[in-house]
Amino acid sequence: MDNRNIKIIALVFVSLLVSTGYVLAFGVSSPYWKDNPLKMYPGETKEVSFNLQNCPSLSEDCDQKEANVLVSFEEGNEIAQITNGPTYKVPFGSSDTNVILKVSIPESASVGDSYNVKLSIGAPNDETGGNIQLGVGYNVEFPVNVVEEEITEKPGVSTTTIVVIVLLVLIAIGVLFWLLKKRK
Amino acid sequence: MADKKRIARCIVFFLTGVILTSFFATAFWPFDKVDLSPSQNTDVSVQVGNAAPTVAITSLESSIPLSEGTTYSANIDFEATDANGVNTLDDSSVSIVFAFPAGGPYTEQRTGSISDCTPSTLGNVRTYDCDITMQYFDSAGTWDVTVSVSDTGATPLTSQDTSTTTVNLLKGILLTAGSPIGFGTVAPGQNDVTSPPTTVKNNGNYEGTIDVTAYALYETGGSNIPAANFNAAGSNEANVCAGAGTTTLIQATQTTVTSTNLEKGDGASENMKWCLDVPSSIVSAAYSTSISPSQQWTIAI
Repeated sequence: MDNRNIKIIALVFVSLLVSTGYVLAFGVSSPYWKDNPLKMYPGETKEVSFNLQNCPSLSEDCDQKEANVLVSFEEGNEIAQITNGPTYKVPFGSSDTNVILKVSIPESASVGDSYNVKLSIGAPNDETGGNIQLGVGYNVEFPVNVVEEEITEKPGVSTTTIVVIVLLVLIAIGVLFWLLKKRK
Repeated sequence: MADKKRIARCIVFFLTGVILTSFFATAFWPFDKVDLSPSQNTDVSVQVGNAAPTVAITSLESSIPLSEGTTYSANIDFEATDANGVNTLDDSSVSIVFAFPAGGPYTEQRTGSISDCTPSTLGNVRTYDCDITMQYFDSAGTWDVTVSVSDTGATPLTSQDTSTTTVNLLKGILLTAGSPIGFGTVAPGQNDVTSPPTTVKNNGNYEGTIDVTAYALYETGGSNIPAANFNAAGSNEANVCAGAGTTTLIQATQTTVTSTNLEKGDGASENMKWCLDVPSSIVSAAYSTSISPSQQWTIAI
């Protein structure tokens, strides 16, 4: 074994000694995903929340630190924008940080069109030691399907009620007319 | 004269009505079922029947986020009324069922009873404010929700109301072992060097493969070990260095390790295996992702 190899062995041995085993345990909860698309109609704007969590179980396995989370667009920024910025500080044990995505479907979109939105959510890890430090990331991806606007019937007077009222008014007018004629 | 005519017309109308009523009464009256015996004394009793309660869900989380690695309390409120009075509602019969997938056949259920609820009464309405415990690995998708309550009648009557809710897709992983990755003692040109596997614990309800974004490892002098010299595989692949299920990593590119299978469930995890072919022309130094311009690798789902 030559001197060069001995040096490699020594350096790797040192790096293993300073290895640490904690990794940030942040997670993301998504209301929409591939099998559960967001449905919107042309011209509609909607805000969608993605919930960031950082070890709400308070498990000892977690790196008990604040997570610095970075959110970036991979696809879909033609219809969506992050309203509260690309970086988030998620306190350890919390689950109340939200990434708000504002999605706007153009008026010119047609029913049946589909857009794909893909976010990359990651947190750099500050672990040391070893040869390869590992961070954790999540792919948040969901389709936005363009659908027809749902016309919800406003609560109020129904057609039947209107017809009945009109008939009653006509009858009342008829009776009034008859009474006036009778007086003469 | 006109009055007489009007009176006559009224009499005709009245008589016509009487005749028609008599005709229909004769034609349709069930004489065979009525005992027309002479008058006699009889006891008359009226049985007031038990009325079923009515139940209505008044509040339900439309989207349940779950909590990674732990339980989540999903809130549901419902009201019950009973024509016989709210005191006749049997609290011990309260049942709340969350079932997946919506429409069935169900493969997963979370249930609750009165012990998960805080009941209160206002006037003739009894309100149940309930929290159902959901697990972090409960399936993402639409769940049927059914609440029911019975009354305390001799033959209890039960009413129910139904709704649906969506459980979010929760992605949460924790690297519990094998991080950072270390390959131990290596020599230039040494092939098929393996490291201790990295344990990826699933703290969410995602199921599927795991992706890796790799970068070349650098030493301070600028030499590197390219990302393409590393292979990765899931626990099902016996030979991470040359098996059919091994995946060669690509520089700065998120690559799916096809042989990985991250399942969901209590304590579910996947062991990722790593293999390195050390370049033969390597200089003697410490190689790491922490040395610029290298970057930390990312394990993603």
